[in-house]
Amino acid sequence: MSTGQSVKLADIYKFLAQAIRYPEADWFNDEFLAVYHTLLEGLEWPEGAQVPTKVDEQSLEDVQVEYTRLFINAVPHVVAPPYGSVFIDGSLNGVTADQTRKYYREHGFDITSNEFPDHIVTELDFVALLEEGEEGSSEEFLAQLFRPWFDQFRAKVLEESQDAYISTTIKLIDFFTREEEEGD
Amino acid sequence: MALNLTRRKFLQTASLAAASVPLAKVVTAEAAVGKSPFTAPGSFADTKTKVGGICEMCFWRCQLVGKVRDNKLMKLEGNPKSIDNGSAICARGNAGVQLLYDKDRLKYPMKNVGKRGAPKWKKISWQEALDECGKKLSATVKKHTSKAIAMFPHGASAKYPMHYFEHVVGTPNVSEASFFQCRGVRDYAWLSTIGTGPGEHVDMANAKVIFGLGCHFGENVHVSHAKRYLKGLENGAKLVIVDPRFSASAAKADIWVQIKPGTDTAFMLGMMNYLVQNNKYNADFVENHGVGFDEFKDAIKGWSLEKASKECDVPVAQMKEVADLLAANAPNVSIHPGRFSSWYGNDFQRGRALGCMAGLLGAFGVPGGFVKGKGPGGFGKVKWGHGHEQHEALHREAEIHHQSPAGTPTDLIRDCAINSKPYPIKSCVVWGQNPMQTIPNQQKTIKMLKQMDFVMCVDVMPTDITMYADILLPESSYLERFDYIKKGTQWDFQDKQQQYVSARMPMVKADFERKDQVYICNELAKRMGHEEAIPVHTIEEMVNKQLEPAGLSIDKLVAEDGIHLQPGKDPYGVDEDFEVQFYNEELADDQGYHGAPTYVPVPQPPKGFMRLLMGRSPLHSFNRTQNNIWLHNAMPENPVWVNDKTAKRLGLKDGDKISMTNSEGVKSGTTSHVKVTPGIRKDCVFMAHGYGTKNAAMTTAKDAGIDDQKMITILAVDPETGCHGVRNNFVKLVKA
Repeated sequence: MSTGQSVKLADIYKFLAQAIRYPEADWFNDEFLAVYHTLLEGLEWPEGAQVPTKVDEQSLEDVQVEYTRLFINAVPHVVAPPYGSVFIDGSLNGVTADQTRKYYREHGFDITSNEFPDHIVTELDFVALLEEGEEGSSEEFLAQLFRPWFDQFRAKVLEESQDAYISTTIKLIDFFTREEEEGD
Repeated sequence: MALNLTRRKFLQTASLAAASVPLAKVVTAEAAVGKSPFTAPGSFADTKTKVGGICEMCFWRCQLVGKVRDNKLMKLEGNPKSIDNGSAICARGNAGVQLLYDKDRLKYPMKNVGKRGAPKWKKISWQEALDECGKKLSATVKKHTSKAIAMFPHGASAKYPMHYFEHVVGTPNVSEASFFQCRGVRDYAWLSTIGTGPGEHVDMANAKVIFGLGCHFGENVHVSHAKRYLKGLENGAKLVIVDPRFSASAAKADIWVQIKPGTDTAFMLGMMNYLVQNNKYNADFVENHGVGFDEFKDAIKGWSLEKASKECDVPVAQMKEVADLLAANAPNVSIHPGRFSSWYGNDFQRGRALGCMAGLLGAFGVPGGFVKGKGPGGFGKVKWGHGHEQHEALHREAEIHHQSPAGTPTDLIRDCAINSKPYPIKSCVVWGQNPMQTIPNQQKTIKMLKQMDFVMCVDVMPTDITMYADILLPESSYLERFDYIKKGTQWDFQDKQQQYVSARMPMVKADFERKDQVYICNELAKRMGHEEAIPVHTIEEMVNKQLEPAGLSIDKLVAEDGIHLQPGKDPYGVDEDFEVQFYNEELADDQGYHGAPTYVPVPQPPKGFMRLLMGRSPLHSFNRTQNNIWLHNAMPENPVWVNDKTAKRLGLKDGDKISMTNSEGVKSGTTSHVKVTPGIRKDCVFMAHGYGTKNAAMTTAKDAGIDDQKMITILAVDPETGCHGVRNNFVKLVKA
C-alpha cells in the first residue's frame, strides 16, 4: 500500500457505515477514533480539532444521547430519522424503500439485517459492495436513490447536531458520496 | 478542508494510503446488505394473503387478512370468511398499515437521562433496559411492599403483564381506562340488575324499536355492531335517540329527544313510572323474572312525566310518545346499554335504569331485545400462579365503591400516591395506556408521576405519557404479534346459527427491536425473582395453550384461512331463573346505595360557561390513532359544536378558530375551529375526544385540535363504582 491509488472507496464506505451506526462501547473506542482522525488528517479537514480522540463512559453516553435525539426519538421531536422514505415519502418503509430494495436485488444483493433497505447504514454498506464488485461503480445508485434524500437529511443534521463527531461523520459521508463534475 | 480536494484526488493521495488497513480493521459490524441470487422485481403476482389478522385500531377487533409483499404489509382487508365483520373494515382498520410504518413509532428501548416530562432519550439494549426495570421495581417492593407499584394497562397486550403484577407481584393498584374512564360503570350497573355485564348485546337487526341514550352509532363505528344497527333500520325499526346533540344517529332517528345533559336518569324514571302507572309494562315478564318490583314502583312513583319533563327540558308529549312507542313494540325493543358510560358521576344509576326499562318491556331473550349470542366454549386459560404477597384494594379497605370494576378506582391510586396515605406508591408501570389523555385532571397525574421513584412505559407510539417514563420499551403492534383469541357468533341472530374462533397472528415480523408482551413480562419476572411462576415461554405457546382444549391450534386456524367455523346454538330465550333486580336489596341494605334506580342531579354550568361534552369520532380511537397520517388527514382537528344562537351572541362564525378556558381558569393551549349548528343545545358544546397531543415526538398529532382531557379538571366520581364522570366541566370559547 505504498502507491497513491490504493485507498479503496469500498473500505471508506464500510468505514462510514460503521461510523454512523449507533455508538456502542465495543467499537466506538480510542482505536476507532484514532483511525477516524487519520482520515480527517488525510483530508486536511480542520474539523478534526473538534472531534475527541479519546472516549470514556460519559462521552460515550453524550454521543449516544445525541445520536438518539437526532436519529431515533426525542423531545420536542426526532431531528432526522435516517431513512430515505421518511424524506421522500413521509413515512417509514415507503415506496422509496421498495425501490431501494429492488435496486439491491437487481444487482444481486439483498438485506441481511433487521433494518429497512433505505436506512443510511444499509445504503452505505450496499455502495461498499458495489465498489467491491466487478462493475465497480456506485454512482448510479448514489445519484438515483441516495443523494435525493441524503441532501435533505444532511442539512437537517448539520443544522441541529450538537456533536462534532456526528456532524463531521455526516460531512464525510457527504464528501464521499457527492457527485463529482468532470474536471473536479 | 483542503481546497480543491475531491474524492477522486483524495483516493489517489499517497498520504492516506496507509490508512486503508486501519479503516478496515475498525469496521466490526456485519454488513446490512449481502449477496443474494437475483430475483425478479416485485409485482402484484408475488403478493401473499396473510390470514389471522385481528384488528386493534379499536377494541371491537375485526378479523383481517393482510396483503403482504416482501414482508411488507401493503393493504388490510376484512377476512372474507368472517361471519362477524365479514370483508368490511372501517377507516381506522384500513389505516393500520400507517400505524405499522409510522416514522414516529418507538423502535428501540430507551432510557431517559433527562427529567420526567422533559425527557432526554438514550437508546439502550434490552438487557440494560430490563435489568434497570427489574432492579427498580424490586427495590420498590423491598422498601414499601408490592402495593407500592401502580399499573395502568390497556389493550390486549397488557393483559398478560397485568395479571403478573396483580397476582404474582401482588399489587391491587391496577387501573384500566377501559373500565374506570369508559364502560366499567355500565358493566357493573347491569351486573347488579340482570346478573351479567351487558356488552352491546342487543339484537338491533331484528328490533322493532332501537332506543339509544347518548349512543352515537356512526360516530362510534364497530363494524358488526353497525351492521346490526343498519340492518334493523333497513328492516323498518323505529329509532329513538336521546342526545343533547344532533348526532349521526339522531340524524337517522324517528324521534330525537334533545335532552338536557346530565338528566338522563330522570328521563328514564319519568317514562318507567308512566309505563307502570298506566299498566303499559310487560306484567307477565315482571311477574316471572322481576325482583323487588313493588319497592321499585314505590321508589319511582314521584316521577310524573311533568316532573321529568321539567328536569330534562323535554316536552311531556315527546316523553309520552317515546314511552308509548316502546310499550307498543315490546318486547322486541333494543334498549341499548351504551358503551362509553363515564359521563356525570351519577352513571351507575342510569345504567340500572336502562336495565330496568328493558325489564319492564320484557325485552330479554326475544328477537330485537337483549340477547347474548351463544359463542364457542372450552378454551384454556393461561394463568400466572398467585404470589405470596396479596393486599386488599384501597376501596375495599375504605369500604367504598362496592360496585367497583376489577382493579382499583383510579383516583384512589392517584391520591394515595400523591399523599403517601394510607401508604406510599413509588413505582409506576404503564402498559399501552396513555393516562395523560384517559384520566381527568392532568396536573394531578403529573404530580403522581413526579413523586415516583421509577416509571416505565411500554407502548407502540411516543404518546404523552411516555414523556414521563424513565425507561421506555417498544412493543410490537397488533399486526406483528400473536395474542388475542376472538370468538363469537354470526352477527345476525336470524341467520344460520354459527360460531367462530380466530386468533391474532402477525401479518409481518416486528421491525427494529420491538418485542411482544410475553417476552417483556417474562424477562421482568425473571429479574424480580418470579421465574418459577412464568406460565408460558413464548406468545405462540400462550395462544396454543388457550386453543388446545377446544381442539384447535395456530396451525389449524391457518389451515382454515384464519377462522374456524362450527355449528352454533339458538341464542333466544331466557333461563327460568333469570332475574331483573328492579330493586336490589344488596345495594340498599348492605352497601348503602339506592336500591331502585335514582336520579342524582349534576352541577350546572356557571354563568357564561357551557358544559363540555366529548365523544367519539369514526376516524379515531381516542388518542391512540392521532398520529396516523391517513386518519389525521381525514380529520385533522376536532371541531367544537356550538349552538348557532350562542355563536351569534359570541360573535363566532362557522369555521372560526377558537381556544377554550374552563371554569377553573385552565386554558386549552391549542386551538380548533367551531362548527356552528342548531343541532346542539345552548348549554353545552361538543367535540371528539383524544386530540391535542403534547408530545412533539408525535409529529403529526402534536397540537392538532384541543385536548378535552386537559379541560377536565373538576373531578366527578361515581359513588357506587369509583369510575370517573368526565362531563361535569364547563368551558367558554375564546376566538383565537
